[in-house]
Amino acid sequence: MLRQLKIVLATLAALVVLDIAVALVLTKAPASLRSFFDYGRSTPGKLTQWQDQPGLNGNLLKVAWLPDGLDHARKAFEAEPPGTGPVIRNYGMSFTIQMVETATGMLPGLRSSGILGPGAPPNYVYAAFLDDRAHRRPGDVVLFGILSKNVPGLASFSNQVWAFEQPAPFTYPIFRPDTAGGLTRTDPVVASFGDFRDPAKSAAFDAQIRTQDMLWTPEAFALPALDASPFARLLRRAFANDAIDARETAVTAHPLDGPMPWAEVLIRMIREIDRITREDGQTPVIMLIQSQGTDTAPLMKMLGPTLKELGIAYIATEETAPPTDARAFLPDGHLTPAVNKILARQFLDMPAVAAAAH
Amino acid sequence: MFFTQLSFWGFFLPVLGLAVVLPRLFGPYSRSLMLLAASWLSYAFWDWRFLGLLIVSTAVVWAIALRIEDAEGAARKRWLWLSLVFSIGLLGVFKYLNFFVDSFIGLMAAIGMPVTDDWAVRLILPLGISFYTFQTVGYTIDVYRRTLPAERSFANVALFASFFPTLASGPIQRAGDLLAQIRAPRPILWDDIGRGAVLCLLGLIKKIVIADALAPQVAAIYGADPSVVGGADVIYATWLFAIQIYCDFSGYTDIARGVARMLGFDLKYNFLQPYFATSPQEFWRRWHISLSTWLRDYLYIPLGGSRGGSAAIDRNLMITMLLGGLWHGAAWNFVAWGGFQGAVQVIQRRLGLKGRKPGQPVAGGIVGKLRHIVTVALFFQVTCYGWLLFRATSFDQIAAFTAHIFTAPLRTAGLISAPPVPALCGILFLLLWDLCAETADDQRFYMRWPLAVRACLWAAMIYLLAFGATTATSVFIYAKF
Repeated sequence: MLRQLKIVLATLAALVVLDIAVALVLTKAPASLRSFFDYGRSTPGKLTQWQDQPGLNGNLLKVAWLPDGLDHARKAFEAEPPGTGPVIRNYGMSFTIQMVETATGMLPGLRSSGILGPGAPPNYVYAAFLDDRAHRRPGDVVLFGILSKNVPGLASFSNQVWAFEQPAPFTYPIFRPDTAGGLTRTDPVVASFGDFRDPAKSAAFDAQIRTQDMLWTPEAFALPALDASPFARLLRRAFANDAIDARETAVTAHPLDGPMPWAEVLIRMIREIDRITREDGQTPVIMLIQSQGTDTAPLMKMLGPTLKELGIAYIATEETAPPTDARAFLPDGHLTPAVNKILARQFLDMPAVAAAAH
Repeated sequence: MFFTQLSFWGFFLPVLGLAVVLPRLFGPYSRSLMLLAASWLSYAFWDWRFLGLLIVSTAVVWAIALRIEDAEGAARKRWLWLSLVFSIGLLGVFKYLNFFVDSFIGLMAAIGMPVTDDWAVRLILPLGISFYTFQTVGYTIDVYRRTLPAERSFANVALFASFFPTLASGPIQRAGDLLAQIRAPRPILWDDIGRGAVLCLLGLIKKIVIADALAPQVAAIYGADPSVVGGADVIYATWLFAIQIYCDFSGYTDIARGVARMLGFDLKYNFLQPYFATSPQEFWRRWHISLSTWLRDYLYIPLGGSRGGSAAIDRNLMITMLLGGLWHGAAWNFVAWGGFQGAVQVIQRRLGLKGRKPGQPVAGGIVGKLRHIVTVALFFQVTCYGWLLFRATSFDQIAAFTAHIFTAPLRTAGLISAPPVPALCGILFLLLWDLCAETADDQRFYMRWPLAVRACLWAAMIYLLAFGATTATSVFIYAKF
């Protein structure tokens, strides 16, 4: 037993020495290697680090807050000269930006504006669409992007809860089906960057995500003091990602029942988008972005029938970029420029978009 | 509940605690009973409906083995056949019924007489059925051959069949090894815990850091349209798959052996640096040893083995390897893989090439060593072609990929991407580990090193595991066999 105890203690000592050595090496290491080890920093640790060092690469503290996005959209809308023709109102994320930018590259006359968030889940996009209603005109094309990988975010208030490696703290409401066939909106306590910096609101929001956010995991938030150790950061990254994946899988597995019936929620969103845009004389276009891999929400399967029933124009990326075809995706998971070109062509060929271009 | 999931370790640690404490309080047999309960519980955790099947099949095998022991002459043989028909029949129904139904439907469609499969019974494959069936079949044959006495205690046979570290993916245990240890349990020593922990650590590195990290690269190419990929893509993906499947399966085996060791059981080696083989015969002395020796003892030798004429030996080899391929899964590509393995062994035999034995020194000085390295590298390509057959999802893919390899070996469709850095570190570590084991001809080569060096090694391995541990949720490849 003494021999075993000796080897255990010696191994622990060696592990501590190795950890200190790695921490020292990382101070001089290339940024990419430092980032690799920093991905495992706790969520509070990352947020504090961004606050303390605003110039840090990858700082997402101020991005995509909804009030800022709405304000920006309002200003852009008010700056549009009289007689401005139809505009593409883009509500989505990087995928919709890339497609629209490709389309505007192919047809420079096309005008677009939008409210977009990095890794934005559909509830963010939907809230942006609802709250920005006053800043659209008849004839506009409303592009609404749904990214399959982010569908579990419907059960969350903020990317800081479930986007562990890049926990952008911007917030959004959670929508749940009500008995009247609509959606009930629950807003986060922290709605703006100003709120985020308010200690009282921040504390209240912390309590809100712990109790009401289905994707909240202790592994991502607990014991930020361990962030000093690269070894602990590596372990946290593995455990936090694993725990969040498990929660996302649990959401994805129940499209029509359970605490977050995501397909039902999306269907109701689509019906409401259809109703509002038609009332306002606009044309909705839904972009269903199927992420790479086979483990994300099957968008076309669940939403295709509703889109066809309502006669809504849509782009389903899986028809051009099957999720199992590695050639269609860049290493970071985005679609290749070639795929975006095909999607942009499909978009431009839609009659409402063609009309907007003229 | 797989070894890479925290839930397994949450289950295992209390079991280990009980395994240490119970024998001191209630005698050594209490540990066996507790382990049986734990094994059944873990199986029920996977799917409780199949626990009944496991218990019933074990009970039948146990009862018939007792009959075999008491019977003589023709009656003895009848009981053996009854046991074999029962065990292999169950395996056939659960593992191969869907396969034969699909093949029949495909055949009928091909000859212009399509049939619907509304009537077909679709069955789920019970976890570990191939492994526990082979164990119980081996036990029954051993009793028939009188190499072992029939076990009187049902609990002992049940633990032998369902011992949780080996239940899902082996290694396939012989009654002479494991049942003997169950009958005469020994106390768990601190040394067992230490050795077991090292095996578990090594296995987790192989599985999590290497195999799981390579899986997406392999899947990207094997999941792509075969008409688009280039020969270089196929070669690259197949090399990676060779590493992936080795790390996946030998990683599982290491953990199974480590867990068993901590519980006081010694399981034999299942892998001996297989990619250092220089011939098909040597490969099967190094790869999945528990299966290859099972097939040798219970299939190849009863078929006639190496006795008889050359054609008879070739036939025996082919039958053995074809059935060995089919054992892996109910799909024609596994049959093709088995056929390929049989064919290369037949070719080796026909060419009169003698296989090395693992650990046999390389003679001939530097020239001999260089020749040896070249032979290892060349034979690795042969092994990899076998893995292509194994990994492929259709014969069309096999045909297209084979054509790409030979007609456009340098062409790529841009599907090649480098494995993650932790996986590369893991592969380098494993290469060094296997080299040390091979050159020392000792799987525990590190025990010759001073304590301080070993402590540094374990610390580095723990760090490497943390470095590569991302989201280890994928299941073991061999769990579906």
